Amino acid sequence: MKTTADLRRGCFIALMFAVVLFILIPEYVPRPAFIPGFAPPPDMWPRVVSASGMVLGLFEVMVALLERRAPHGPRTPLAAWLRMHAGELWRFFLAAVALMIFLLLIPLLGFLVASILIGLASFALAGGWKYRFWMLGMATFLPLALYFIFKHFINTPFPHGSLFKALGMG
Amino acid sequence: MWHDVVLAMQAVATVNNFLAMGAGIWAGVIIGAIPGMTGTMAVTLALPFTFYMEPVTSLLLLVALYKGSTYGGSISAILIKTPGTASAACTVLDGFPLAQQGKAGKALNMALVSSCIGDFVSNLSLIFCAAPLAYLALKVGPPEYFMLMAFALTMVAGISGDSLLLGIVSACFGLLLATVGEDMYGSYRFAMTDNMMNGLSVAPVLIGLFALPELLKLIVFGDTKKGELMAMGEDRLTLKEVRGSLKSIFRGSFIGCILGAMPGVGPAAAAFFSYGEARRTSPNGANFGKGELEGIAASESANNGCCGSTMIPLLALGVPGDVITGVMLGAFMIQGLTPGPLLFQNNIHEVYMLLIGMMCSSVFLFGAGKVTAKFFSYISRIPLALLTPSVLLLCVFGIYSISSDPFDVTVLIVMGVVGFIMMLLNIPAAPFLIAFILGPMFEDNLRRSLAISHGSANIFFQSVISWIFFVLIILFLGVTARREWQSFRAGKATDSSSAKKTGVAQ
Repeated sequence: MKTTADLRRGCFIALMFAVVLFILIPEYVPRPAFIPGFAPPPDMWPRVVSASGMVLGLFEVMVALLERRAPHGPRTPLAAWLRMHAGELWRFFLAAVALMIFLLLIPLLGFLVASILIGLASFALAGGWKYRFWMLGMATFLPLALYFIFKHFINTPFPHGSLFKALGMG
Repeated sequence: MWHDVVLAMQAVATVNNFLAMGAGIWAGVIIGAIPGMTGTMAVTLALPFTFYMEPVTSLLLLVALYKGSTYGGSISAILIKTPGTASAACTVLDGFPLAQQGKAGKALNMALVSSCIGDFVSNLSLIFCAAPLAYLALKVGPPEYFMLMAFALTMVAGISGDSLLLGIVSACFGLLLATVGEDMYGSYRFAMTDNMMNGLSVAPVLIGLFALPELLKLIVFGDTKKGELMAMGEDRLTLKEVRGSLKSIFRGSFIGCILGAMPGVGPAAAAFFSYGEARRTSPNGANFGKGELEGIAASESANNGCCGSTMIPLLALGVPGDVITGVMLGAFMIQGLTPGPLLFQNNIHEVYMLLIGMMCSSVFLFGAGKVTAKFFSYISRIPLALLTPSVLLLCVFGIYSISSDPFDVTVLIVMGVVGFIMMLLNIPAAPFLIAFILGPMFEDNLRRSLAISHGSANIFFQSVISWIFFVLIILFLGVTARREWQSFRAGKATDSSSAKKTGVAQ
């Protein structure tokens, strides 16, 4: 099946709202046993919003199917589209993994070290290699400066990291 | 009365007060300009320092921080396409395209002039119209509020991006995200982890949605834009340009005054409303979103137009209109002052001092804006490959320091990825954010109205105010849909004629 940008987007929107409507709301929005007065139940509003979103997504799909041409780009089979954008998808995957690792490293290495590491990773991924000296300097000194300012002037309690604590350095 | 005013003027004219105003405005502009640091954060962080100050000095410091940060958001919005505050989200639409055209200085000057005029008009509204406007805002009940919010959201959805449908989809995502946490009757929704029981904070969602997608874009697609595009370039505003935007500036100022006086609506909605009106009525409406000075004038005058008037319900009724005035309410209490009708009877001297000080701060805003914008423009000389990851670090530290909760950093990063996917799908982020901010009030007013009417939707059509907003919504939807249909037809006609010329069969 040929797919277009509009069709993909419509499917994505409808799917997202459908997941919320049919999976997340029944699971995570419990109805209380007693509702005071004539107040609508807590799941009323999320259901209205997600159903509206799903209908809009399906409308986008319908419009994309009815249109004889793709207004936002040429018709490209999904497999070809994936091949065409393999490099970009790979870089997006790397960035997402780096950010996820940063979140996992905060409790382990502490906020400062994790920030220096994500700084280095993001500078490197964003093409900072051209300015290697600046990249290393900024990735190290910017987190240090921010850490100092927030810790000493605003008294932000930054986590030190369980690894350093275990080593007796925390 | 005049004797009291003269006495208050003498009392305001002290070194301490001027220092507080100057430092507050300047710090506010810088904090507002740094992505990841919001006006709320600036005011909240300054609160402990006000313990040691005179009552009026401390309040002037907080007001100055608020005003400065509201303007400061526009600097980063124009120079690095990252609004420092939610209210500057609209300024990005025309500010950044102007910066790309080498007219960042012009855009910054227009933002400053409009902000100062909006701020000045707003202060006047606070002085002269406090009581009547507060009375009007008090008359608005849940059904009218619901219709007002629906109107604001429809406007935002319609004016952001190219498609009304995608704007509404984006707003639906925002409304849905706003339901996370405890609802008005104590039920927990989508509380997948303990951290989600209190809902998601605005700051990480705002910063994640607007700042991080730029970094991801840079990583995924490479450095396609060059640093010089964001240089200050032309910075002198011509008289013709100012005159051409005056109508939008004053209209924006009045919109800011009225919406700012309504608790909860705030500068972000005012900026979008004003921008939409300017786009609709301006002869240059077609240029909006492509780098139109009038667009910046409309949004900046409206968001700063809220700064004074948002104090109206706080001073006259003791009701804070937003988070910042909520913090200010705390500052009043700390200083032994109780905002509300009694404040005007028991502490009229302090009220006059505050009002006069606020007028002076408009002048300070102009000076601080001039200095800081140039200082901040040095950022444009830094290559994007170094600047954008630095923004990530600023955001991460700024967000963590608000609540000292790593969960907020997680929200920041998740929202960054969501914002990037929305960018790829051409779904505008602004309606998402405004819906997220207005969402809880939108739902509360809907549920309150339905509870009052025993579930009948007729309650939304029982007052003149509700009908006015309903008609405005229908009109706006109709006009926007018609405009989109016409541009679609025009695009189709152009395509088919060019296809005929080249002999390509459709």
